[in-house]
Amino acid sequence: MPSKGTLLEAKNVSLVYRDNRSTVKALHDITLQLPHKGLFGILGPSGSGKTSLLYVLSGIRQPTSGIVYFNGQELPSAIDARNKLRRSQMGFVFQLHFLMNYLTVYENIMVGSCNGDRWKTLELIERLGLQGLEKRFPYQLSGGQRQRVAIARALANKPRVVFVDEPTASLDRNNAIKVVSLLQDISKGACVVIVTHDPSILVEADGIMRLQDGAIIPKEGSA
Amino acid sequence: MRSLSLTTYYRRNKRKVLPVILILAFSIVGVTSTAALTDEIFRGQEALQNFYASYDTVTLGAKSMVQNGQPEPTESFVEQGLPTMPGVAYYLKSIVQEVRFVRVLGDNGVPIFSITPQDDHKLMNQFGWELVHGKLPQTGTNEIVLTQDILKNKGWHVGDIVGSEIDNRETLRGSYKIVGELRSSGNTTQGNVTGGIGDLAYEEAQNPDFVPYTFLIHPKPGRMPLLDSELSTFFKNVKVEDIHYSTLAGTLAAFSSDYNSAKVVLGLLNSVVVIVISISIVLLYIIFLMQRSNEFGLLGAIGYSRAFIVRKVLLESAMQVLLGWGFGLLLSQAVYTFFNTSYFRPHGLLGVNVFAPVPLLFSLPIPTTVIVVTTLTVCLQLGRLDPISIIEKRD
Repeated sequence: MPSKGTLLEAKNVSLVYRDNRSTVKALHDITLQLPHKGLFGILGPSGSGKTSLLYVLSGIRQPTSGIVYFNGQELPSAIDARNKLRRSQMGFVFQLHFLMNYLTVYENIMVGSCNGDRWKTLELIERLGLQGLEKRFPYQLSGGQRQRVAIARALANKPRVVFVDEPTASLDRNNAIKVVSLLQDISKGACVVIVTHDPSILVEADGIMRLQDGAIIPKEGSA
Repeated sequence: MRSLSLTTYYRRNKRKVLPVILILAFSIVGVTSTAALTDEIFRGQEALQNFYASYDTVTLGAKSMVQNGQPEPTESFVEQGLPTMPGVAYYLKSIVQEVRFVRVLGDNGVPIFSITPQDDHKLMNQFGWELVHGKLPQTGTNEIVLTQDILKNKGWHVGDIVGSEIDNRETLRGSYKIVGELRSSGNTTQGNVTGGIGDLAYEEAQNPDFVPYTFLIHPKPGRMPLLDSELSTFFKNVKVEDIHYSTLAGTLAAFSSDYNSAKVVLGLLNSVVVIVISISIVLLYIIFLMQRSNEFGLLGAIGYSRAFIVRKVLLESAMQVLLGWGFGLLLSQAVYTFFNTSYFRPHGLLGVNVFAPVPLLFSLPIPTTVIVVTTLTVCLQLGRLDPISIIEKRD
């Protein structure tokens, strides 16, 4: 049974990649609980399984074993049901922005919206400081602006949880600070899960989990 | 949703969409042109054969023949036999010559019926001809009247002297004076009939030893099939070189056999073209599709269903193909209109029309093949789409 008061919960989740030649254990017996609001970091070096954990928590990947609960319900096993849940309740910011070059800023944000809510989109544009850029195309924007458009797209449905993969990887220092500050702001109304190898952007995080070789490293002093 | 509407990609990616549309359009022009030209030729041929809908013909090939071991004049044999046939309404005695009618590919012989002046109006009524200029041939003269399409085709006018004596390429023997112009009203059941009228007495005088009469035999209403079978029974034992007869059924069979053979050849040639063009378009389309893999991967990752993505891409490609097809048809018609006004109509030819059934039919295989192959490709490619492999890309 899922724990009460948590939005997202993983219980003994493992993920194994298999191909013809080898078997790789990406995640090993992960158990975690995330509340409805707050900024949470998953920290670890490259190849530690951070992104895999993000995919499992969001339902993009199904765990090899273990269960993921969202809002007290087990993530559905049917792909269409998982897609529907992800589209309506979750937001995702990938490491690469994946903006569509033939769509304007406004239209790219609308891609993330289920109901095409125009006012919500305009509100997001204002909140993320993208005013005046609505009609521009992604190739006309700076790296920081593109990242903010990608964040706006993830927020278009007012999601309950936002997954963010290496948000500052392709940004300069100034833009990185702005994006982190934005994510902190968002975390006041939703659960924001950030995956990064850079601990400096998690200074204000409400919780940090360290991953090493697919397993959570216990906090110092804990059993 | 507006941002992912079907037209957005096209409006913003004209450089990728236009090549596909243009290749499709030009291939439609090419394929339908061959079909339209063939169609024009056969429709023209059909107009020349239309008089068979009104008349079966019996043509004498020799002065006499051996019948039941006895010599018998062919003319009296036919003239005694025809009234005994229940299917015959009336017959006209004529001598038929031909005028060379120049077509796009090869020439046709167009019949000129030399008949008595008393029969002129009977023939004209039957073919829906009316005299719009000049007069009808007078008895004993070399005067002829021709339908307008022949005059246009040959560049002749009322008052001109024509025939093999004037131009040795002409099949009309001797020389003839054109004294009138006939217009085909097209109101008859058989449609337009191309041809002309001459004078029988004059022709008889030109052939003193043997007159190669052609009897134009008109059936009683609705009795053409009966007449056909009566003729074949009556002439069963007669050699073709003595007396030759043509029936509507026989003419149509020969005509449709020629037409069907041509359609098969044309169909085979076009199939090769269709396959080559379709493969080119589909390959081009696949390249553009693969360039959009990030877009499809993202949509899959943020929760759009695979069915939505496949439906969107299929509708986009179908719309693109339909645009290309429609543009191709319009482009074809524009090209044909130019040729119709500058060449076909001035030469009395029917002209080409892409919206005629045959060219239209031949325009369908390319868009159909492209849609089918594209659908299979899209379903195969997007069916294997793995959003994770796309979104896991790193800088």
